Amino acid sequence: MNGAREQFRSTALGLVFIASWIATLEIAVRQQWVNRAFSPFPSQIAGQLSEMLGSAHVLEPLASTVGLLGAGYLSACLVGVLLGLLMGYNRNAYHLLEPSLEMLRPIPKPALLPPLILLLGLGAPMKIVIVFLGAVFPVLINTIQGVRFADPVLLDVARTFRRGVLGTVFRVILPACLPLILAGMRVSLGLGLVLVVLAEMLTGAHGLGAQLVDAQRAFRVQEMYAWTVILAGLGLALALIFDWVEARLIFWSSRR
Amino acid sequence: MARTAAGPAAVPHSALLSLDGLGKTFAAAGAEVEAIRRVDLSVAAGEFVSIVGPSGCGKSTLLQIVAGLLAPSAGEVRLDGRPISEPPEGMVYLFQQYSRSLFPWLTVEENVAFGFRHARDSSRRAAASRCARYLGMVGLADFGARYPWQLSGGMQQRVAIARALAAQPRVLLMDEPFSSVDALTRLELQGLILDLWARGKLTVLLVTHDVEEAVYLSGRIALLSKRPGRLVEVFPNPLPHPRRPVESREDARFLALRHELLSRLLASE
Amino acid sequence: MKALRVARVLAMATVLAMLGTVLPSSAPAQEKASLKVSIIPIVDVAPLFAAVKEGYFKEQGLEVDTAPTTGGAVGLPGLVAGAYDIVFTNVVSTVQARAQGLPVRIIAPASAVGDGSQGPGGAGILVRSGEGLKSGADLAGKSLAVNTQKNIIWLYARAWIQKAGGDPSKVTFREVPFPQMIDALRGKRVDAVFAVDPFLTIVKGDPGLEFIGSPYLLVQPKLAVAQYVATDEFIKKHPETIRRFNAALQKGIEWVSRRLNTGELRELLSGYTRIKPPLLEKMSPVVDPPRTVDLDSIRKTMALMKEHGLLASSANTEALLAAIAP
Repeated sequence: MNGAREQFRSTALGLVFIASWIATLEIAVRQQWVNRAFSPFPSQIAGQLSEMLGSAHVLEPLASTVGLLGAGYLSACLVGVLLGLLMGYNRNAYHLLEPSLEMLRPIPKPALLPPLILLLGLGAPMKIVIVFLGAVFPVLINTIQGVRFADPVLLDVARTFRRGVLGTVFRVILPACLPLILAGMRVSLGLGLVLVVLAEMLTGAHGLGAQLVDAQRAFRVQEMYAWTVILAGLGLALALIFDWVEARLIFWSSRR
Repeated sequence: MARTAAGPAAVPHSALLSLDGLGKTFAAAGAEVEAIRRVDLSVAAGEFVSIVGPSGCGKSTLLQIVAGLLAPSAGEVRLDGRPISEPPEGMVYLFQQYSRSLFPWLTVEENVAFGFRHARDSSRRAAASRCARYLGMVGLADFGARYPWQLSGGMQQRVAIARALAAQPRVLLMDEPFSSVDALTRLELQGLILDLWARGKLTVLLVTHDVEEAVYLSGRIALLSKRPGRLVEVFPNPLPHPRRPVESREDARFLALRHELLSRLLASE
Repeated sequence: MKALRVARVLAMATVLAMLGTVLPSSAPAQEKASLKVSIIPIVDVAPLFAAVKEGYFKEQGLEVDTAPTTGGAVGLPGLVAGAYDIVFTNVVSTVQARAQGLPVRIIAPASAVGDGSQGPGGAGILVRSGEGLKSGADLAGKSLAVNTQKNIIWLYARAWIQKAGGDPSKVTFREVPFPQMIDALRGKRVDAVFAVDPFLTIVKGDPGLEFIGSPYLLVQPKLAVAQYVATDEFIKKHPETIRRFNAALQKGIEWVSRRLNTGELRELLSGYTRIKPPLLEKMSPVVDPPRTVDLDSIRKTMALMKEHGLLASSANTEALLAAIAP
């Protein structure tokens, strides 16, 4: 009983804080402390938002963004895990590939947008590739680290029961490293979302980023903020979904 | 050659497992550390042999070499006359850190199943019944659906034992298996191992620092010197079977052997 | 520890520098001596650069600092945020900004399209030769580059497509800055570009590229394309500065007007567009810059904006016009 009330109090505290600064913002704009042209009232934004959500005007750009993000992100996770398992397990593979990857990794991925636009154009392939390039490294590196630091006892268990390489890698090493791999995937998700929106902002035409810039170009400031809120909502939704999936996959990890 | 005290099943006098001139040197921080030196030992099929020695004498290292998990620097291990270079068929190593050796993402039953590979076409049911049988042997018949981290230390060790036995090995290697459970659980598990061994078909090589445990369980006891571990002597155990947890420990033969071993151990410190 | 002290000093210096940029300048609220002007590096702003180069601004006691952007749609928010004092921007962006409540007003003319008697008037559609794109109707399913979305280029491109019998909603509009348009076209990143001089006629004679029309001339000859814009507050606070700016700019306009097809003008252009003079040789003669702001042309543009959804149909055109007129 007490636990529930505690939880309610702590959540309520955070919500009250958010409500208070939204209210402050509303007052600030009404009183012209902040330039009204650039900051509509929060209530106006809310109105615009409900209008947009109601009209399904949001669906097409949302689907476009999520689709491109999904394609780039999921392929990055797959490649990152498989390549990471290989490089973590096999010394030769690691020494072969590591220098090249070390050259690519430190590049801030937004800086890759101009060359990618040159090479791949302005459409979907370019966006999927930039998401892939941004998302693959955290997953890859965490997988390699996970394999490297996998508990040697577990590896020896696989050996004493004479599991082959594939069996050891996929049935012992992979599950054992999953917490670390998922941590990398979580970072990649956030990074991927940033990159896909950035690419959309720069190339226009489809997706949430394009809608945002479109509203900006036409000086429809309320709509621009509404799109920002939608983007924030998308980020939050993705994080929650990730949490749910993670909890199901590594239900065992804190209990070792 | 030392004589072995026979268990309930008659044992042929051919060596199942032979350790020939085993030596192991580690390179650690620039220096070389010799862990064991020229260990020779023969274990016949169906024997229960313990290895005791002061801490740091290399007995765990020795066992890992026998298991095929570690390569020796000198000498070789032969199972059925064939030298081993990696964990061989028919031999299973039981870890000291048993709770780390169980996979937390698998249920108890799935962990036990890991011990044997069931062909895809042989039914799930056959595998499940095999798991159930071995879980039953260790007294955990109803715990198949639990996760290892939901069990106590003693129960986890039983799962590890069940997993090892489910692989139906001929040789079981145990590295201080009961050192981290409480005294009472230890007695229970010792009894369990004896029972399982007594059903026949199992050869056990046990490493322990607990002299009483060695005397209670084994047919022969090998004494290792302090580092670098050399085989000092192999003691036959006159204590008769069946062994009982309380009575056997009060037996004069138990006490005599225990006295001898402890004195030798303490002297070598 | 020495490192800690150095770090502390650096932090203080950074904070002070940042404060310096944020706090209002200590000069009293009178006339300004230095102006930050946002521009697009195209022929339209030649009079401004001429006035800088020939010292006309200095004569008036003004120092002009130019900053390039991709278009008025980008410059105007900067204007309202205080990053620029004056912005060179197309009239469509100005009207939209005003309609959404941004307090901006025209202070000087900049460019207009001629009547077509001297060629394409400095703006038009380029495509790659041999792909069968001949008119606006052929652009269905293709991509067209504009410098920013929703501005005058975007608007008149749509009107032009419609006039040719095409459907603008079937064309994909992509943002590409003017200086990058020819590259994007050659590199097949877009199928067509609506470019302006010098980035339009310097490719005259290139067999790989083809000029297929001038949307401005076809839809609205003599269109007043762009002007210089400032905020209401700036105009109110610095009327004398505005007057001086205009005086210098008019001299710059005269300078350009007398050199429409000369090497001297091309050298000036080369300076701020970074195109080498030999490449500019192929450029068509520059359109004579306007001396005044043509309000009637803006009225027509507003009507077109309403037609294409850039302005609410209920918007009061006359009130808007009055609000932005110099």
